[in-house]
Amino acid sequence: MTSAQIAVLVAAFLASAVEFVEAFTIVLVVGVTINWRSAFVGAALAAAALAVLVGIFGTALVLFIPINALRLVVGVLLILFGLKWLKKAIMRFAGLKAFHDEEAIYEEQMADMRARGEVIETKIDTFGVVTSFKSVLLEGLEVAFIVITFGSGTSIAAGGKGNSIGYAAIGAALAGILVIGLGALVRAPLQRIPENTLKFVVGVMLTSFGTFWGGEGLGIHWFGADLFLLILVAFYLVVTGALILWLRPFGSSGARSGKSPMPSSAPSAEAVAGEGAR
Amino acid sequence: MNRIVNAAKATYNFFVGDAILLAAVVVAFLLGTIVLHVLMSPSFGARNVIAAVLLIASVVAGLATTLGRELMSRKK
Repeated sequence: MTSAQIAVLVAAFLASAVEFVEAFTIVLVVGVTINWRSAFVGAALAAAALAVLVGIFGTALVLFIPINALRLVVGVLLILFGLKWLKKAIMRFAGLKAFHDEEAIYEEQMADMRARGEVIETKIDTFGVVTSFKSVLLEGLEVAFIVITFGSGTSIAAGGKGNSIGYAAIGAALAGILVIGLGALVRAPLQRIPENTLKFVVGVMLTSFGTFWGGEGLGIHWFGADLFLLILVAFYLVVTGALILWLRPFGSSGARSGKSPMPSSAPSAEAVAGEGAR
Repeated sequence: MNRIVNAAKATYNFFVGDAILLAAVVVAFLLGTIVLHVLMSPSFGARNVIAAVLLIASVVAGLATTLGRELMSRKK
Protein backbone atom coordinates (compact mmCIF):
# COMPACT_ATOMS: atom_id res chain seq x y z
CA MET A 1 0.00 0.00 0.00
CA THR A 2 1.50 3.35 -1.04
CA SER A 3 1.47 6.44 1.18
CA ALA A 4 -1.05 8.06 -1.15
CA GLN A 5 -3.40 5.08 -0.75
CA ILE A 6 -3.01 5.18 3.06
CA ALA A 7 -3.81 8.90 2.95
CA VAL A 8 -6.93 8.16 0.90
CA LEU A 9 -8.01 5.42 3.32
CA VAL A 10 -7.56 7.67 6.38
CA ALA A 11 -9.19 10.70 4.74
CA ALA A 12 -12.17 8.62 3.55
CA PHE A 13 -12.45 7.05 7.02
CA LEU A 14 -12.57 10.43 8.78
CA ALA A 15 -14.89 12.12 6.30
CA SER A 16 -17.22 9.11 6.15
CA ALA A 17 -17.27 8.80 9.95
CA VAL A 18 -18.82 12.28 10.16
CA GLU A 19 -21.53 11.30 7.64
CA PHE A 20 -22.17 7.96 9.35
CA VAL A 21 -22.54 9.69 12.73
CA GLU A 22 -25.12 12.07 11.22
CA ALA A 23 -27.12 9.24 9.62
CA PHE A 24 -26.84 6.94 12.61
CA THR A 25 -27.98 9.69 15.01
CA ILE A 26 -31.30 9.90 13.15
CA VAL A 27 -31.69 6.09 12.92
CA LEU A 28 -30.90 5.84 16.64
CA VAL A 29 -33.46 8.45 17.69
CA VAL A 30 -36.13 6.90 15.44
CA GLY A 31 -35.36 3.50 16.95
CA VAL A 32 -35.47 4.71 20.54
CA THR A 33 -38.49 7.02 20.22
CA ILE A 34 -40.67 5.18 17.66
CA ASN A 35 -39.49 1.59 17.24
CA TRP A 36 -36.44 -0.25 15.98
CA ARG A 37 -38.36 -2.09 13.29
CA SER A 38 -39.33 1.18 11.55
CA ALA A 39 -35.79 2.57 11.96
CA PHE A 40 -34.20 -0.53 10.45
CA VAL A 41 -36.77 -0.83 7.64
CA GLY A 42 -36.07 2.82 6.65
CA ALA A 43 -32.30 2.29 6.84
CA ALA A 44 -32.48 -0.99 4.89
CA LEU A 45 -34.64 0.58 2.15
CA ALA A 46 -32.16 3.46 1.88
CA ALA A 47 -29.23 1.02 1.70
CA ALA A 48 -31.03 -0.89 -1.06
CA ALA A 49 -31.75 2.35 -2.96
CA LEU A 50 -28.09 3.33 -2.58
CA ALA A 51 -26.94 -0.06 -3.85
CA VAL A 52 -29.19 0.31 -6.91
CA LEU A 53 -27.94 3.85 -7.58
CA VAL A 54 -24.28 2.87 -7.20
CA GLY A 55 -24.91 -0.28 -9.29
CA ILE A 56 -26.47 1.74 -12.10
CA PHE A 57 -24.23 4.81 -12.12
CA GLY A 58 -20.97 3.54 -10.62
CA THR A 59 -18.40 6.31 -10.33
CA ALA A 60 -20.55 8.50 -12.60
CA LEU A 61 -22.91 8.89 -9.62
CA VAL A 62 -21.42 12.29 -8.80
CA LEU A 63 -22.50 13.55 -12.21
CA PHE A 64 -26.12 12.37 -12.08
CA ILE A 65 -27.35 12.90 -8.52
CA PRO A 66 -28.13 16.55 -7.68
CA ILE A 67 -26.88 16.32 -4.11
CA ASN A 68 -27.76 19.94 -3.25
CA ALA A 69 -31.38 19.49 -4.39
CA LEU A 70 -31.56 16.33 -2.29
CA ARG A 71 -30.11 18.17 0.73
CA LEU A 72 -32.71 20.91 0.27
CA VAL A 73 -35.68 18.48 0.12
CA VAL A 74 -34.45 16.37 3.05
CA GLY A 75 -33.63 19.52 5.02
CA VAL A 76 -37.10 21.03 4.54
CA LEU A 77 -38.82 17.77 5.53
CA LEU A 78 -36.61 17.30 8.60
CA ILE A 79 -37.31 20.87 9.77
CA LEU A 80 -41.07 20.26 9.39
CA PHE A 81 -40.88 16.92 11.24
CA GLY A 82 -38.60 18.37 13.92
CA LEU A 83 -40.76 21.43 14.56
CA LYS A 84 -43.88 19.24 14.87
CA TRP A 85 -42.18 17.10 17.54
CA LEU A 86 -40.72 20.13 19.29
CA LYS A 87 -44.10 21.86 19.44
CA LYS A 88 -45.72 18.86 21.14
CA ALA A 89 -42.81 18.29 23.53
CA ILE A 90 -42.68 21.98 24.50
CA MET A 91 -46.43 22.04 25.12
CA ARG A 92 -46.17 18.95 27.33
CA PHE A 93 -43.30 20.38 29.35
CA ALA A 94 -45.14 23.70 29.71
CA GLY A 95 -48.33 21.96 30.86
CA LEU A 96 -50.40 22.98 27.81
CA LYS A 97 -50.80 19.37 26.68
CA ALA A 98 -51.36 16.26 28.76
CA PHE A 99 -48.57 13.69 28.95
CA HIS A 100 -50.99 10.78 28.92
CA ASP A 101 -52.29 10.96 25.40
CA GLU A 102 -53.29 8.23 22.94
CA GLU A 103 -49.69 7.18 22.34
CA ALA A 104 -49.10 6.78 26.06
CA ILE A 105 -52.27 4.73 26.45
CA TYR A 106 -51.21 2.56 23.51
CA GLU A 107 -47.79 2.03 25.09
CA GLU A 108 -49.40 1.11 28.43
CA GLN A 109 -51.62 -1.43 26.67
CA MET A 110 -48.54 -2.88 24.98
CA ALA A 111 -46.77 -3.10 28.35
CA ASP A 112 -49.80 -4.92 29.83
CA MET A 113 -49.78 -7.37 26.91
CA ARG A 114 -46.06 -7.97 27.38
CA ALA A 115 -46.64 -8.58 31.09
CA ARG A 116 -49.26 -11.18 30.19
CA GLY A 117 -46.73 -12.89 27.92
CA GLU A 118 -48.62 -12.09 24.71
CA VAL A 119 -46.58 -11.71 21.55
CA ILE A 120 -46.76 -8.17 20.17
CA GLU A 121 -46.11 -7.38 16.52
CA THR A 122 -44.28 -4.05 16.45
CA LYS A 123 -46.13 -1.95 13.89
CA ILE A 124 -44.28 -0.19 11.13
CA ASP A 125 -44.50 3.56 11.64
CA THR A 126 -44.47 5.49 8.35
CA PHE A 127 -42.97 8.59 9.97
CA GLY A 128 -40.14 6.50 11.44
CA VAL A 129 -39.44 4.69 8.17
CA VAL A 130 -39.44 7.91 6.10
CA THR A 131 -37.24 9.80 8.58
CA SER A 132 -34.74 6.95 8.79
CA PHE A 133 -34.83 6.35 5.02
CA LYS A 134 -34.12 9.89 3.88
CA SER A 135 -31.34 10.46 6.41
CA VAL A 136 -29.54 7.24 5.51
CA LEU A 137 -30.06 7.85 1.78
CA LEU A 138 -28.69 11.40 1.94
CA GLU A 139 -25.71 10.55 4.14
CA GLY A 140 -25.08 7.31 2.26
CA LEU A 141 -24.91 9.28 -0.98
CA GLU A 142 -22.49 11.69 0.66
CA VAL A 143 -20.30 8.73 1.70
CA ALA A 144 -20.46 7.43 -1.89
CA PHE A 145 -19.45 10.88 -3.14
CA ILE A 146 -16.54 10.93 -0.66
CA VAL A 147 -15.34 7.49 -1.77
CA ILE A 148 -15.59 8.36 -5.47
CA THR A 149 -14.07 11.85 -5.28
CA PHE A 150 -11.28 10.93 -2.83
CA GLY A 151 -10.47 7.73 -4.73
CA SER A 152 -10.54 9.13 -8.23
CA GLY A 153 -8.86 12.39 -7.14
CA THR A 154 -5.79 10.53 -5.92
CA SER A 155 -5.81 8.32 -8.99
CA ILE A 156 -5.74 11.41 -11.21
CA ALA A 157 -3.00 13.00 -9.06
CA ALA A 158 -0.90 9.85 -9.53
CA GLY A 159 -1.22 10.15 -13.29
CA GLY A 160 -4.15 7.75 -13.56
CA LYS A 161 -2.11 4.87 -12.09
CA GLY A 162 -3.67 2.53 -9.52
CA ASN A 163 -7.19 2.47 -8.22
CA SER A 164 -7.61 4.29 -4.90
CA ILE A 165 -11.40 3.97 -4.87
CA GLY A 166 -11.04 0.56 -3.24
CA TYR A 167 -8.97 2.03 -0.40
CA ALA A 168 -11.43 4.90 0.04
CA ALA A 169 -14.25 2.32 0.21
CA ILE A 170 -12.34 0.35 2.88
CA GLY A 171 -11.89 3.56 4.91
CA ALA A 172 -15.60 4.33 4.62
CA ALA A 173 -16.59 0.76 5.55
CA LEU A 174 -14.35 0.86 8.65
CA ALA A 175 -15.94 4.16 9.67
CA GLY A 176 -19.41 2.64 9.23
CA ILE A 177 -18.56 -0.40 11.36
CA LEU A 178 -17.06 1.81 14.09
CA VAL A 179 -20.05 4.18 14.22
CA ILE A 180 -22.61 1.34 14.24
CA GLY A 181 -20.66 -0.42 17.00
CA LEU A 182 -20.54 2.72 19.14
CA GLY A 183 -24.23 3.32 18.45
CA ALA A 184 -25.12 -0.15 19.70
CA LEU A 185 -23.32 0.66 22.97
CA VAL A 186 -25.23 3.91 23.62
CA ARG A 187 -28.61 2.41 22.66
CA ALA A 188 -29.39 0.93 26.08
CA PRO A 189 -28.68 4.09 28.15
CA LEU A 190 -30.76 6.14 25.70
CA GLN A 191 -33.81 3.92 26.27
CA ARG A 192 -33.87 4.84 29.97
CA ILE A 193 -34.47 8.54 29.25
CA PRO A 194 -38.11 9.67 29.85
CA GLU A 195 -40.13 9.60 26.62
CA ASN A 196 -41.02 13.29 26.36
CA THR A 197 -37.44 14.36 27.10
CA LEU A 198 -36.29 12.05 24.34
CA LYS A 199 -38.90 13.42 21.93
CA PHE A 200 -37.84 16.95 22.84
CA VAL A 201 -34.20 16.10 22.08
CA VAL A 202 -35.22 14.37 18.83
CA GLY A 203 -37.17 17.48 17.82
CA VAL A 204 -34.09 19.61 18.44
CA MET A 205 -31.88 17.15 16.51
CA LEU A 206 -34.22 16.90 13.50
CA THR A 207 -34.63 20.68 13.35
CA SER A 208 -30.85 21.19 13.63
CA PHE A 209 -30.03 18.60 10.94
CA GLY A 210 -32.84 19.99 8.76
CA THR A 211 -31.56 23.56 9.09
CA PHE A 212 -28.01 22.40 8.34
CA TRP A 213 -28.81 20.26 5.31
CA GLY A 214 -31.50 22.62 4.02
CA GLY A 215 -29.06 25.52 4.34
CA GLU A 216 -26.38 23.57 2.47
CA GLY A 217 -28.89 22.75 -0.25
CA LEU A 218 -29.71 26.43 -0.50
CA GLY A 219 -26.02 27.23 -0.95
CA ILE A 220 -25.16 28.44 2.55
CA HIS A 221 -21.57 27.73 3.62
CA TRP A 222 -21.78 27.01 7.35
CA PHE A 223 -18.96 28.34 9.51
CA GLY A 224 -16.81 25.39 10.64
CA ALA A 225 -18.56 23.01 8.17
CA ASP A 226 -20.12 19.98 9.93
CA LEU A 227 -19.07 21.30 13.35
CA PHE A 228 -21.72 24.02 12.96
CA LEU A 229 -24.29 21.30 13.63
CA LEU A 230 -23.25 21.35 17.29
CA ILE A 231 -23.77 25.12 17.42
CA LEU A 232 -27.23 24.69 15.86
CA VAL A 233 -28.16 21.99 18.41
CA ALA A 234 -27.01 24.20 21.31
CA PHE A 235 -28.86 27.22 19.89
CA TYR A 236 -32.14 25.35 19.41
CA LEU A 237 -31.85 23.85 22.90
CA VAL A 238 -31.51 27.34 24.40
CA VAL A 239 -34.36 28.77 22.31
CA THR A 240 -36.77 25.92 23.04
CA GLY A 241 -35.83 26.04 26.72
CA ALA A 242 -36.72 29.74 26.72
CA LEU A 243 -40.04 28.94 25.01
CA ILE A 244 -40.88 26.39 27.75
CA LEU A 245 -40.11 28.97 30.43
CA TRP A 246 -42.31 31.52 28.60
CA LEU A 247 -45.27 29.12 28.36
CA ARG A 248 -45.00 27.53 31.81
CA PRO A 249 -47.01 30.14 33.74
CA PHE A 250 -49.96 29.51 31.36
CA GLY A 251 -49.93 25.71 31.64
CA SER A 252 -51.89 23.60 34.09
CA SER A 253 -49.75 21.75 36.63
CA GLY A 254 -52.01 18.71 36.18
CA ALA A 255 -50.87 18.24 32.62
CA ARG A 256 -47.22 18.77 33.55
CA SER A 257 -46.43 15.33 34.84
CA GLY A 258 -43.10 14.61 33.18
CA LYS A 259 -39.54 15.71 33.65
CA SER A 260 -38.78 19.02 31.96
CA PRO A 261 -35.37 19.59 30.42
CA MET A 262 -35.41 23.06 32.01
CA PRO A 263 -34.52 23.76 35.64
CA SER A 264 -37.51 24.69 37.77
CA SER A 265 -37.29 26.58 41.05
CA ALA A 266 -40.33 24.85 42.50
CA PRO A 267 -41.20 21.55 40.84
CA SER A 268 -44.86 20.64 41.17
CA ALA A 269 -45.97 17.64 43.19
CA GLU A 270 -47.38 16.13 39.98
CA ALA A 271 -44.04 16.58 38.27
CA VAL A 272 -42.29 14.68 41.03
CA ALA A 273 -44.98 12.02 41.28
CA GLY A 274 -45.12 11.60 37.52
CA GLU A 275 -41.39 10.87 37.16
CA GLY A 276 -41.74 7.15 37.19
CA ALA A 277 -45.22 7.03 35.73
CA ARG A 278 -44.04 6.09 32.23
CA MET B 1 -62.86 13.45 -5.73
CA ASN B 2 -63.32 12.78 -2.05
CA ARG B 3 -60.52 10.24 -2.15
CA ILE B 4 -58.13 12.76 -3.72
CA VAL B 5 -59.00 15.38 -1.10
CA ASN B 6 -58.57 12.83 1.67
CA ALA B 7 -55.21 11.70 0.26
CA ALA B 8 -54.07 15.34 0.01
CA LYS B 9 -55.18 15.96 3.60
CA ALA B 10 -53.41 12.84 4.84
CA THR B 11 -50.21 13.84 3.02
CA TYR B 12 -50.40 17.36 4.44
CA ASN B 13 -50.99 16.04 7.97
CA PHE B 14 -48.15 13.56 7.65
CA PHE B 15 -45.53 16.00 6.40
CA VAL B 16 -46.74 19.27 7.93
CA GLY B 17 -49.88 19.28 10.06
CA ASP B 18 -49.45 22.94 10.96
CA ALA B 19 -49.97 25.80 8.49
CA ILE B 20 -47.87 28.25 10.52
CA LEU B 21 -44.87 25.92 10.56
CA LEU B 22 -45.24 25.33 6.82
CA ALA B 23 -45.47 29.07 6.13
CA ALA B 24 -42.40 29.74 8.31
CA VAL B 25 -40.32 27.11 6.51
CA VAL B 26 -41.44 28.36 3.07
CA VAL B 27 -40.60 31.95 4.05
CA ALA B 28 -37.24 30.81 5.49
CA PHE B 29 -36.16 29.12 2.27
CA LEU B 30 -37.63 31.83 0.02
CA LEU B 31 -35.71 34.53 1.88
CA GLY B 32 -32.56 32.42 1.79
CA THR B 33 -32.90 31.88 -1.97
CA ILE B 34 -33.49 35.58 -2.62
CA VAL B 35 -30.56 36.69 -0.49
CA LEU B 36 -28.13 34.11 -1.88
CA HIS B 37 -29.14 33.79 -5.51
CA VAL B 38 -31.13 36.90 -6.53
CA LEU B 39 -29.40 39.79 -4.74
CA MET B 40 -25.99 40.66 -6.13
CA SER B 41 -24.74 42.80 -3.26
CA PRO B 42 -23.25 42.87 -0.68
CA SER B 43 -20.44 40.32 -1.03
CA PHE B 44 -21.17 36.57 -0.98
CA GLY B 45 -19.71 36.30 2.52
CA ALA B 46 -22.14 38.87 3.90
CA ARG B 47 -25.10 37.40 2.00
CA ASN B 48 -24.14 33.95 3.29
CA VAL B 49 -24.34 35.19 6.90
CA ILE B 50 -27.61 37.08 6.26
CA ALA B 51 -29.19 34.00 4.61
CA ALA B 52 -28.12 31.74 7.50
CA VAL B 53 -29.48 34.16 10.12
CA LEU B 54 -32.76 34.61 8.21
CA LEU B 55 -33.18 30.84 7.83
CA ILE B 56 -32.66 30.13 11.53
CA ALA B 57 -34.69 33.16 12.65
CA SER B 58 -37.65 32.17 10.45
CA VAL B 59 -37.65 28.63 11.86
CA VAL B 60 -37.61 29.95 15.43
CA ALA B 61 -40.27 32.56 14.61
CA GLY B 62 -42.52 29.86 13.16
CA LEU B 63 -42.22 27.72 16.27
CA ALA B 64 -42.84 30.67 18.60
CA THR B 65 -45.84 31.81 16.54
CA THR B 66 -47.55 28.42 16.48
CA LEU B 67 -47.01 28.03 20.24
CA GLY B 68 -48.40 31.54 20.75
CA ARG B 69 -51.47 30.61 18.73
CA GLU B 70 -52.00 27.50 20.88
CA LEU B 71 -51.76 29.70 23.95
CA MET B 72 -54.28 32.21 22.59
CA SER B 73 -56.76 29.46 21.65
CA ARG B 74 -56.56 28.06 25.21
CA LYS B 75 -57.10 31.49 26.77
CA LYS B 76 -60.37 32.08 24.83
